[in-house]
Amino acid sequence: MAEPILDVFALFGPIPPAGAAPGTDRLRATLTRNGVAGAIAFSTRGIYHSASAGNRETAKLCQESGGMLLPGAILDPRVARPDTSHQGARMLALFPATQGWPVGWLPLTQLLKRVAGEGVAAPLMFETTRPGDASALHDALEKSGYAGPVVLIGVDDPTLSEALAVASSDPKVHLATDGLSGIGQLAQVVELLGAERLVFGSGAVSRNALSAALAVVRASGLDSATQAQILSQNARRLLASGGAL
Amino acid sequence: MSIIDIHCGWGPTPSAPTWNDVKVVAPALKTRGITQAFLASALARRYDPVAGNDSLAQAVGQHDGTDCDLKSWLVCHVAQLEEASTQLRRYLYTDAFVGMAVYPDPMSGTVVNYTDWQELFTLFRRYGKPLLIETPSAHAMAEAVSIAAHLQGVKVITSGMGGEEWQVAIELAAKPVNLFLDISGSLSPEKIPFAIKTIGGVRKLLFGSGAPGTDPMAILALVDELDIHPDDRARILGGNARRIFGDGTEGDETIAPTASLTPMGR
Repeated sequence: MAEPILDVFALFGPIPPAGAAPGTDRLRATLTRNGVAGAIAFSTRGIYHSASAGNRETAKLCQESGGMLLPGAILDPRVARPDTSHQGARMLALFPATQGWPVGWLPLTQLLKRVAGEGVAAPLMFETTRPGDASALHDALEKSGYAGPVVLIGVDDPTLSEALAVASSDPKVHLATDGLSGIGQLAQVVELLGAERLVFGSGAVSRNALSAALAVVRASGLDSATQAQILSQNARRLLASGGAL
Repeated sequence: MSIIDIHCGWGPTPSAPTWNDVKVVAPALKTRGITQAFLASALARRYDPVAGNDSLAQAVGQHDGTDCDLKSWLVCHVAQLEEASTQLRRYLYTDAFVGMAVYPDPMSGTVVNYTDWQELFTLFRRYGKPLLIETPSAHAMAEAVSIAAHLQGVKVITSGMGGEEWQVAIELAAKPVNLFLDISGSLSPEKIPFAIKTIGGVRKLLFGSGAPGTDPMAILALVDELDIHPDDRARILGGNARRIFGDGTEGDETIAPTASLTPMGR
């Protein structure tokens, strides 16, 4: 029997000015329909409105999901004294491009230092859709001393070479599959970094279709053992390393 | 069922370094269930329209149709009007080229608009073939709608559905009868259902992948997920393209110029 698929980047809630329905009903139905056993969930409320309100919503809805959804928490360095009570989150996430702040930014370094100082080493998911962001994150991680694994999301053609360079120089950096929908991209990452550094994340349901994200992995030409690593094993390893916050 | 990818790239990328070899591209498309694809040269689009179009014409001309039937878009830029005129005459009278494709300026990113591109459109419209306009934003779609209004009788196909601004772009594109949309661009699961609802059916929707930048399987997965009648699915994947590009099996779509809006009697 195939190993249960785990999605490290599930997103629920509407994207302004409109979009998906609020709540996790649609996300859970989509996971079930596509044979995905579980997901780390993040609320769009936490990205577009208030990280602490979104994280509270996520924690509550994940608790009610019967174990299918694990909570992720969003960190927002734009807030002078960000809420770092992470509500039992299994991953932390930052969305600089969507929220419009620079990565080479002292508030980010200070936030990461503070989280690291609290002994947190959970996987840190980081949006790197803009050229330069992955490199700036590399510097911020060094300055802050954050020791947990890092997963870059939103990596696509314009940022792939940079993400590969950053990941090559730091073994704790991984790439998520969500932006890598082009022909040959997943195979290239596996060839240059190794399959253990690529982890399945979809951005479903608010940003992307889960079925499309799975289709790209299955059409990648990678053998089934490698696909199992990407779809299941790597996420489990990452989560096991961080524990609940 | 035949699947027609009406907008597929041609040219190597770092991740698909052999995407300029028909012996690679045609089998890769066939593996994904695609029976016919219309290719556009990346070289022509980004750097040298003349060399890019010629190179694609040569490669596709040597392909015998094995695995996947390949045809081409002629990529033109208004900055090279004379060269475009020569290539239009050379290629658009042949069945190997399905129409003309235009893209945002490769240097500035400025989207295609009617005012700046008018001379090229005037040259092109006499060939009676479809025009493809890449629309990566709602602004690009607004300009494409304006172009469609000026080019009544020409089938205008927009590619990319406005990118992440798909909602506004689809609303803009819903009305013009001579404007169609390929479903490439954002992989949002909301996009195509919203388009079907806004447009009032699937008549204007065409399958286009934007490969190799996006794996066609991702776009096909969006279509597979739709809660629609199998006939409508077949229309999106190929039937509408056959109608618009006129292979005769679905009835060629002729778009009559809209009657003058000048009130009668004046």
